[in-house]
Amino acid sequence: MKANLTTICSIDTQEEIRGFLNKFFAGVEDLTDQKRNQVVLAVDEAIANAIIHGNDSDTEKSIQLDLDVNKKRIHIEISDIGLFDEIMNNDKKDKDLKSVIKEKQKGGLGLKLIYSIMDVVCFYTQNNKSYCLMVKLLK
Amino acid sequence: MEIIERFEDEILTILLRGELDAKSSIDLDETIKMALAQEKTRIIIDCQHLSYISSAGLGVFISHLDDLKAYGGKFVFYGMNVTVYNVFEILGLHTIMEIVRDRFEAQTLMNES
Repeated sequence: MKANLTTICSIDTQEEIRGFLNKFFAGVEDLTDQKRNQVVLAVDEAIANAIIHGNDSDTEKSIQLDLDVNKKRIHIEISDIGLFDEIMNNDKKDKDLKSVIKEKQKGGLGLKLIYSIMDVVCFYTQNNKSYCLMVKLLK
Repeated sequence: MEIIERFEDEILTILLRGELDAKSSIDLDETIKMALAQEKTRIIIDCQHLSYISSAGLGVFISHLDDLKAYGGKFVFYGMNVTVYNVFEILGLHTIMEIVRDRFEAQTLMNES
C-alpha cells in the first residue's frame, strides 16, 4: 500500500496532512489506534521541523511525503527537509526533560517524540536534497 | 483550534477545543503570556475537547511552568482523552504535570495549593 502527498511549506497545511495520514493509516492492519496516533504524531513533528526550521516556512517551497506499508513495516520518507540544526545536532533527542523545563524551551521535544515512537529514524542528503526516513515495525 | 477563557474564584480556566499543533500553539502561548501579565497564575486547562497535541503545544506549557511556580501558581489539566494523555506519557510529562480526571478534582487540587 503506497501513497504520497506534496504540500507547500506552511504550518497552515498540517491539519490537512494529519487528516490524510489518519485516513491512510486507518487501512493498515496490525496498527492499533494508539500506534496510529503515535505514527501520525511522529510524521507531523518531522514535517513541522522541515517547514519551520528546514525551510523557514517559505511557501514557495514544497515538501514531499511518501508512504509505503507492507505486512512488516511502515516506511515514511519526507523531503526536502532542508538542512537544519536538529539534523546536525540530533543529540536533542536525548535532551533531559528537566533541562528543557529549566531553559523554558518551547522546542526540542519534537525529535524526542520522533525517536521515541519510530523504530528507525535517519536523516540524509542526496543530490542536494535532504531526507527524513522513518520506519515503524508492525510485528 | 478554539481557546476559551473563564476567570472565576481566582482561577483561570482555559478550555481548548480542537487540535493543538505548531500553528494553534502560537495563540495559546499568547493567551498564557497575557494571563501571567495579569497575574493569573492558577490555571486549569480543560482538555475535554482537545483531540490532538504536538510537541509545540507541550512546549507552550513547559516554557511557562517555572514562571507559574515562581508566582505561586501552577497548571492543572483535566479531561484528557487517551490520545492526548499518551503524548504526555511518551515524554514522561505525566509525572511532572498535574493531570486529573475531572473539573472537581482539578479545582480541589488547585485549592490545596
